Amino acid sequence: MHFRISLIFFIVFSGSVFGQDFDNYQPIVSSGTLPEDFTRAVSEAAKEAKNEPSDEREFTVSAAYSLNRIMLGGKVLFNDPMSQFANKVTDELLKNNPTLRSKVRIYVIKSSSVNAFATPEGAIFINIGLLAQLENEAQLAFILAHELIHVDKKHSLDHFKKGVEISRGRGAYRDLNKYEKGLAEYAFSKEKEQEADELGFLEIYDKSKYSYTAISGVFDILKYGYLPVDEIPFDNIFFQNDGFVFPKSYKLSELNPINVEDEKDDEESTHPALPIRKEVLEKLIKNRSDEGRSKHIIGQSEFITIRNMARFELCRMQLLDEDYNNAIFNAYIMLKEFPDNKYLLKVIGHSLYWLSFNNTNLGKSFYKNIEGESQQLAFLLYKLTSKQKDIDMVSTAFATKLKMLFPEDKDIDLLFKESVKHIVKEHDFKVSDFYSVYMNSKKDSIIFTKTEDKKEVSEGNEGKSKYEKIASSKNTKNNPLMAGEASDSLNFHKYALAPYIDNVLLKAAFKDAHDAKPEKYVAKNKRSSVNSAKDRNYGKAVGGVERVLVVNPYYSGTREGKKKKISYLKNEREETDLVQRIEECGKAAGIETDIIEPKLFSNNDVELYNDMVLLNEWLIERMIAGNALPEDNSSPVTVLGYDRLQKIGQAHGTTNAMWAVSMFEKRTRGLGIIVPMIVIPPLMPILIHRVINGGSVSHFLAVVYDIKTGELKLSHQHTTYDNNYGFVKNNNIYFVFHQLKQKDKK
Amino acid sequence: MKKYIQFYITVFSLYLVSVSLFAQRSAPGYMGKRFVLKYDQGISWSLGGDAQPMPNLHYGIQAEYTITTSKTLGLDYSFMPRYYKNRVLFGNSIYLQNFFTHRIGINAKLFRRKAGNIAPTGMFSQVGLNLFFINGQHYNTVIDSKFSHLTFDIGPSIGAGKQYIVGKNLMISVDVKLTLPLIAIANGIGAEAGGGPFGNSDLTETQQLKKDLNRKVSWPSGQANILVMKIGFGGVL
Repeated sequence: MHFRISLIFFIVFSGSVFGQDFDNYQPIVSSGTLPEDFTRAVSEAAKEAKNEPSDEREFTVSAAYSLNRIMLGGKVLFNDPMSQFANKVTDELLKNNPTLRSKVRIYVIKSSSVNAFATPEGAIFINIGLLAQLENEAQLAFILAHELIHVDKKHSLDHFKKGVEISRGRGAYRDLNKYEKGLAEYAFSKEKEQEADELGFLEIYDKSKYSYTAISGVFDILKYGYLPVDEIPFDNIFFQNDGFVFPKSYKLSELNPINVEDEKDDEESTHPALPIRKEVLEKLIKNRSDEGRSKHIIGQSEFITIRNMARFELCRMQLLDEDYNNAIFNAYIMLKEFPDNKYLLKVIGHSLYWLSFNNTNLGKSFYKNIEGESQQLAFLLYKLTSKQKDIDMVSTAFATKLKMLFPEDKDIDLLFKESVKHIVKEHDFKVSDFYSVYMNSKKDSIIFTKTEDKKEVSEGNEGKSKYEKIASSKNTKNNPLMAGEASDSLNFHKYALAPYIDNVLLKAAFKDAHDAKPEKYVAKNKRSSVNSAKDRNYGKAVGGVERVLVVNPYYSGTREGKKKKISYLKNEREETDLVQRIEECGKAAGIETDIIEPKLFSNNDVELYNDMVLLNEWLIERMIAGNALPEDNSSPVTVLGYDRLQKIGQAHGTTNAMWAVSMFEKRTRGLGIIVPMIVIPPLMPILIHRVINGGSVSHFLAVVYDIKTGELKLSHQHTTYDNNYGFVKNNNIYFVFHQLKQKDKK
Repeated sequence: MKKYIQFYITVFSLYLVSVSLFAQRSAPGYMGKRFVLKYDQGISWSLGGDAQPMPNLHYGIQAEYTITTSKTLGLDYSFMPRYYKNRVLFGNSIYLQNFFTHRIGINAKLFRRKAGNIAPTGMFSQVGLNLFFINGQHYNTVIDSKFSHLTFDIGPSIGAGKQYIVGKNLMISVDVKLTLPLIAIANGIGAEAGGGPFGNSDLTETQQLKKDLNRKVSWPSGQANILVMKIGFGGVL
């Protein structure tokens, strides 16, 4: 009896036991020690592959380089609850195959796409986008089994060898043209994918205790991966408040159905068509009994917790991808289960803010091709962004609502104040410009009911999975009940702040925004071209910077031409060299540099790794902010945790963060240039230089942001038509530091 | 001698004034170093006319200061000797033995920003103004004595080249310079026309000789300075 009570207790509360308090959700970070995959250099792999045949050695080095890039790119999670769960599922699958288990490592990767992949070294990556769409643990197990076969049977190496054979026209491929060779490669790839499906099932999945029926719909996850995580009606009322309703024209009466047709043509695809894969799997599952098997072995509640985590992360990732429709819709879906959840509301609030801040006009193509329930939201966003005041006010009203709900949250406070600042800057609005009465008190005729009276149309979909709803929704009309409809003439945006008009915080925010006397805003479509602005900013002194945090400097070198090639070992050396030069140039300019370089991480540097990840995400957010030039507007608003960012700044002793990318393309010239050298000998020095240089190009890009204000302090892009000489690299880097240091022009 | 020293000091002072007027603190130079000092080794070929077909070696030094991100201002000096074996000038009685051309010039280099060059490194084009002092040394067989005389020239120049940095601050440069020594060219044209604008029957024999010597020396010197290819070694400071 006690055991049963304990078990029930355990099952009911295991959601919180497995780590996440969704009410105070914090984005997932890595923990523990850095796995060896992070710290292993490409040169080590090259040493180990010394005795392999040259093609295989090249493959090993290129694979090590690719893995290195993935691991140090800042998107991989380790020792987090999701990766731990995936590892437990793998343990379960490979209970009887410790040899294979010792070869593989499972990581979750911060990507919104629905995918999983394996590398030849045995690292398997599961995208968060995939985890968010799963229906059960067994589906994850099948996907892992598929990837495990890729590793076990060395499919990557086979693919590489076959690719070499085909491209060199050996044997049966001798008489093929380029297109036919491409098809041959696709065919081979499909063969391996089919093998992974079949052997993954027979050699791994079948030997576990996972259910057969649970995976019958696994390919639907890939098929419908472009849709949000669930199909529920979207109600515009979500963005309304007691003060206003949207006009009638802001909703669609009919939505695009979800395309359920199966595409069987896979000639130009690396994977077999999904219907074919599904058929093969169904044949394998047929006549197999589910007795003694289960959809969940680790635990259903743990699976649901993990999936919810993935969905929470997914919303934020989609926001950073500027996929606002999916970010908002997925957060909206999750709010059904987690009402008034601060994290989810913040994602929505930030999505609206960036649409507003960037004067985005989404255009008809934004919503026209969207399928399913999320089209309703897409249409609403399209309508709101077609009038700047509409999106600005809806965004500000939403931010104000969040401020009322969570007055102590720093990120929300920033969002709220910046939203007010934005509408003051854009429209010179004052509090008195808004109606303090609610829309329904006006004499224009509208149909209005209070939000509490709204009933949602459920269409009998409770308890159904997303894929069951899709299957049953063919050709059905979606006509959700709206709580209110107004005429277009009512200028609803003027009522948007009605519920808050007398609020002290709102009045204070307006006052501060007006007192700050914001600089004249230059709309993106009105400012001068990027090129001329770059020229104006070239050499422009920023001034007074003493210390800079340099985040993950990146180098890429390629050889262009007929045989485009990357020299992996050289790239690794050049990246190390880049770090040293940054340090030297900083010193020469009188600026201290603190460089976060993942190649120099030790196993205990997980905090530094997390700092790097956060800063890289913050940089992406700056790109969303659209401030590509120092003269653009900046905003400190961040969904990533303002306080956490400031702590990073304090830990590194500066608020100036710099990202630097160095790229080099080696190009060869023909020898025709020798003729002018003979005809006009005095030109010889210049032409000799041209022959040596070969038209190579070096690019250097650097941006420096203030992590406190979000201001872009410096944007530097420099292209040199020269070889990758040391002095060229030094010039480019030093120039950036020089601009940061200089105060005066004369 | 004193006059020449005064002259060089004047030119150098003018150069320093120009630098301080035009230099911008925002110019980064190379790793913060804006001053370049180098030795230039030049070579040129005399081009027909009176000159003997031989390579001419130019030995020079150059000082350069980075005034903006794309420009430098330079002062340079070079010395070109030429040695003859019995180079007949006038009816077997006077032989040209040597002449020495001293050239001092001010130049401005422009580093192409669009090609990604930052002064003082990378590809550049240049313009300059040059002053030549040509010291000719002669042997008079009639009176068995040596004598010398000095002539002058002036001319603008244009050029192009590239400056590299090797190591921390060692500079290597290659460039080609085209100069128009104006007086030499006029003299050359005059020489071809058999006396030309410099012929004057009112001059004394000594004066006429001096004029002829000027012409006969400046033209070969000028030719040797028209097109010069240089390689330089120095450092950034």
